[in-house]
Amino acid sequence: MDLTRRDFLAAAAALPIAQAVKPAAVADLAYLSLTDAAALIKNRKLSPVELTQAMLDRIDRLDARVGAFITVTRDEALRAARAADQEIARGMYRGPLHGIPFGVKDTHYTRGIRTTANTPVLLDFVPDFDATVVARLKAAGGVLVGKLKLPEFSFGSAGEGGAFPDAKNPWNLARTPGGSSSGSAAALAAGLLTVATGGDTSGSIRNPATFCGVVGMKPTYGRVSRHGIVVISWSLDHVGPMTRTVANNALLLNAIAGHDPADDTSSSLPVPDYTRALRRGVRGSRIGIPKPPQLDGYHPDVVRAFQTAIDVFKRLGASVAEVDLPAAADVIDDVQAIVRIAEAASYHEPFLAAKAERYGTTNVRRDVEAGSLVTAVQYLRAQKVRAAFTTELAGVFRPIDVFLTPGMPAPAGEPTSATQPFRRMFNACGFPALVLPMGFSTSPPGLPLGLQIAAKPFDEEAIYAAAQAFESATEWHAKRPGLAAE
Amino acid sequence: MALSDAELKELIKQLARTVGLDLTDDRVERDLVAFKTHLAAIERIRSVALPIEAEPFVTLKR
Repeated sequence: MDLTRRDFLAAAAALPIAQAVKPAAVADLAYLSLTDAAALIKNRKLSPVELTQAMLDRIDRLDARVGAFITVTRDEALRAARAADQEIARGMYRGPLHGIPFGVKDTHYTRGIRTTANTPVLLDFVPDFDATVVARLKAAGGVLVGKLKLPEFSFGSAGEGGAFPDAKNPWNLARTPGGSSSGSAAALAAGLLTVATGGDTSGSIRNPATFCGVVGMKPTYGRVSRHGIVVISWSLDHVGPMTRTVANNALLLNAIAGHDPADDTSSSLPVPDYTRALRRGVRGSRIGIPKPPQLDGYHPDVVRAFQTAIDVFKRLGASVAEVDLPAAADVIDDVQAIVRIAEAASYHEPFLAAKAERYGTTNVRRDVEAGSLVTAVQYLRAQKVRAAFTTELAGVFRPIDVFLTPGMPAPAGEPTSATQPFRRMFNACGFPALVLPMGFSTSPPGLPLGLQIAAKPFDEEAIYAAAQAFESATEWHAKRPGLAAE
Repeated sequence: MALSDAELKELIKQLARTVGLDLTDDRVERDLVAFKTHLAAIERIRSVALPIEAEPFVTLKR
């Protein structure tokens, strides 16, 4: 169970500095929350080296089956863990991420470490600088354990044909983990990392977070720097935290959010302490939900779990009401798709000119070649509809605190005829949206289901308040996949 | 826009040349399905009425 920030601080102040004790079983270390690990590390009950080695050992045992990693930065991780250990021993504690193992999607530049985006086009690419997100995590004392799996160039949610095989869903290795932040979600679900980051252009944090039963936040556009991230679409790309609990997610966003001079689209708004929202609760909150026809085509298990989630919020004292989305919601996925592919085609222009034959066997090359033919007027028409939708949605959200939807219309790998997945729209408008576990499927059995919570721009605090209230009232986040040889 | 596949493939080939892409017939054949998907999306977007004052960008505010 996660410590509250108050408990953590009280425990840290009360306990004497102790000798390192025998570490808990490896499986326990694997699933330690960030807050629990931070408390143990700060109080010298657990060393960063022990925690990092436990993760590396578990990766050695399990990742051949899960396939979450493209690159495991073993030597660098142990070096960073030893440095963290020494700093903490000298009393130089940097904060809750100090000594914590983290992984990043293999679109995030890492200095001196290949960044492949799972494409043969970039197989030999070794950046000479860290992405801002990576630099911030390292500055916070985090221990980079590896680069995580994605489909080629982050296109699509999953699929073979890139430079490396696809990741698997730890809850059912025959199922997709979703994507495109596939490895990030799979690694967290399998206990191979304490925290991770992902990227979300069309739902690529929220889709795999739903399918793998973890917590994924797509922050407001501009809340987290995009500097040093392999691009899909400049105006749609978001970077965000992925964790196993809501509190850990808030802590991670604290570390990576904020203005970046290297990213002109990053916001100058001050970054609040997102953990302060965790104790807010939802009593008196106003929650919006979609009208029932918008869930047509959703899997019955998802509909049932979503209704149960709504009932939880009502019991917690929130008021719930159906809302009317803007009419343009019917075409917002088309809008997002045209903006995305036109911008992606522009990013890929040098690759198509010089390395076209190196693309993998996915549809990336096909899609960006076709995207190169979208005219400026067609692109700007899509942008005008996007702007109008965003302005209208801001009006819809004005009288509510958060908007709830299912994370995905169906469990991992199950077909769906849903026409409104509520996923790309939050990339198109840039409003923040988080998913967290809300149950498991019965048909087929045992696949995670997710709840999406969205809010107004830069109101991640409202999301964290609602998410923490829901997580505290339910047990879904505490379940673990039954991977053998734990 | 009721163009045949043959007309669309010729359109793809010539448009691609204007953006510096010299596509083989095989590439045109592969790209056709994506091109048609984009055209369908663009048609649905065109169905949304917009005032002449509509602008393509908006700034997010807290």
